[in-house]
Amino acid sequence: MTDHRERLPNDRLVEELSAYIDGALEPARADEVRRLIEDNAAVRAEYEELRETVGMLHGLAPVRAPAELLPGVRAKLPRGRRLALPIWLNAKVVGLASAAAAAVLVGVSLQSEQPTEFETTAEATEAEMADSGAGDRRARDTSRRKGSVDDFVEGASDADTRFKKAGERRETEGLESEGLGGAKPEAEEQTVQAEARSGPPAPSQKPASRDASKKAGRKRAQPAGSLGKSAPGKKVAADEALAGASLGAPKDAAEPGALADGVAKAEADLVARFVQTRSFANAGARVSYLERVASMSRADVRKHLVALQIDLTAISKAGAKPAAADAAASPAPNADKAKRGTGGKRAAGLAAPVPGGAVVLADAREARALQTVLSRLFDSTAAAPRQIRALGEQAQTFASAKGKEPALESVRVTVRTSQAELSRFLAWAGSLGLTSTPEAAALLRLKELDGDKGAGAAAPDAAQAPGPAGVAGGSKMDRTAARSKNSEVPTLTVTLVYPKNAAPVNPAGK
Amino acid sequence: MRPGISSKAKAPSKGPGEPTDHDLVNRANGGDSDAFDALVTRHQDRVFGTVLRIVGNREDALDLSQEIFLTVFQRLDRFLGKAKFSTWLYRIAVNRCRDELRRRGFVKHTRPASLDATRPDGDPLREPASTGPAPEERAEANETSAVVHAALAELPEEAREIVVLRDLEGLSYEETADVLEVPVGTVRSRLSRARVLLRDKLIPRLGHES
Repeated sequence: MTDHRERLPNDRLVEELSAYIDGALEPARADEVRRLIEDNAAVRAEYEELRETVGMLHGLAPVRAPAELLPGVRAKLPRGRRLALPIWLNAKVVGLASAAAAAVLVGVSLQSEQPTEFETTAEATEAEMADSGAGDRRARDTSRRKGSVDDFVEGASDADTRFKKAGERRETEGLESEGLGGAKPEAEEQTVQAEARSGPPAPSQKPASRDASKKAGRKRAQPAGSLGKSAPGKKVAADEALAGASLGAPKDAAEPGALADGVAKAEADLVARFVQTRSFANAGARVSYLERVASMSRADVRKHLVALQIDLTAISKAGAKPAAADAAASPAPNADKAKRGTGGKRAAGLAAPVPGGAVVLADAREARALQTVLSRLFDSTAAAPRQIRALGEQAQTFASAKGKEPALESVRVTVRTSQAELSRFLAWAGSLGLTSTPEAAALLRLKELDGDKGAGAAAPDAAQAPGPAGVAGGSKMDRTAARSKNSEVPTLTVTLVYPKNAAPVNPAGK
Repeated sequence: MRPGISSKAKAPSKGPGEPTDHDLVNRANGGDSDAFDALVTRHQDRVFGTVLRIVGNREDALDLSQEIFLTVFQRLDRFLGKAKFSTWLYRIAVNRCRDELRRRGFVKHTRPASLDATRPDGDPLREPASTGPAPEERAEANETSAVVHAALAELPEEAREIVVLRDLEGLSYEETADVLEVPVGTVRSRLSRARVLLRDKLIPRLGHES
């Protein structure tokens, strides 16, 4: 490349040159840039090259759609009135319900930057609708294309076999009570599904099903831990809903192509995915999957981890010492509680194992893989709570849980932390665009904690928070001391719901 | 040195008496299949062009474009009209392209290698010869065009998206921001970086090194 590029322009100037080419600068600044171009040879050379590049792009002839595009679209359109699958077969609704169930599990959730798998808002914006198209092709095309994590779902050719297996599993696992058996009338199915999974209303639902979803949507407001208090049957439902979140089911099973193949196939696919997801009860599958994800870029990690959920809970009525409160808590194994998936009422002292939702990992290998994934997810360079960064170092803690394989499709990492850490985490989340209503709720919760020690405590701690200024925070020491007085220790619970389409992979084959 | 190179602004032509996109959407929602056909016809070039230049493969682009319009058909009743129809359409298209690229196994850029094999005559994105060369296709079938497309295919996905939307599809900064769901400032900086990347790939190939 030419010499001028080495001594030229900082990124900002290059950006302004680019905008200048587009005529997108304010007039005053455009004049300044124009003078700079005239007076400085290096800037001028840079400008000319960029302009030439843009000119070449503009010089490309437009592409014409092939003549067969429109006939192809016509041929695939359903004839007559559009059909709709029963709600309980609509994978999108399953996804929505799953999201809500997960939210019940942990209370407050933050939607990931790229909600590729399900939506959490009750009213879909056009943007969300566009997003929701991202996963539609997966189920249909996986038999043709291999090689990505998205392709874990087996091809459609296996659907019949899996459906038979699904039937067997349904008998043994009692999924009929979930409505998957299809024995109940459709309307009843809808209600059962929606209520059991606490799903928000789906934009695509017909009026009759909206009622059910509204009921479900109201349930989203349940506090953390409510799942643990619910009836066993609902726990099963929620587990299955979580499974649904990890299924990789296409968001819109009612699309014409799927309909053309018949409702039976859609049902087979859906049930098969439910069953397939159970493979995550196998630690080897989880580890393989995590290692696969750990090898991905950060952006892909985010795309493949369905949901990131945060639960801020004040725990511990015991005397909390500032140093201990801020120290990395060991997320000791707690297989029984994790198996129940309880958010639970937390009342453990600082010396006790972290209650409810503690990580139950198979071994150090899984811990290391999870640590890598979390580091990617959480931007290990800045805002990740150090307890999570240290997860790999605590691998021996998890090794003691070897042999206990929780039948979960999610892993929860619960760490006691400081409020400043939480603030940093939330700031980081905000910087990633996780600025949804749930985050606002989380911040509100922080303010509530602040409120315990007086109005003056709520001052932002922008210096410590790498994210946007104004995020609730505060002096770390002050906060810790205040919590000590109030016997409150914020707890950060991260729930990673294993993604859809997940199935065992051979690590050696990645 | 004159700034403000006009974007291509390939908004589909629409005569004074022709229905707007929103009119067609309303009619299509009312069951008028001709209205939906009209929407497809009006926007198929921009959808296909966008998809083709992002995924770099004609066959995939055709499949994806058809699926995009099927998605549009399915969700047409959910289009609220708050945004431009074309923005909504581009958003669906870009999301579908991302999905496709992820499916390919996390390939960061896509060389239209398969097309190179079937189209040894130059620009891999050109219309097949069997459709009859239009004048603009002949003009495109030159070395520069092929080099530009090849360089474009080598860009990271994110850079390619923004160059396609802004410089090839002629969307404004604001429209591009709407489609990609990022702030306008992000569009500006991302576009700048993408152009620099492209420049660095193009100039050596075209022998413009000074």
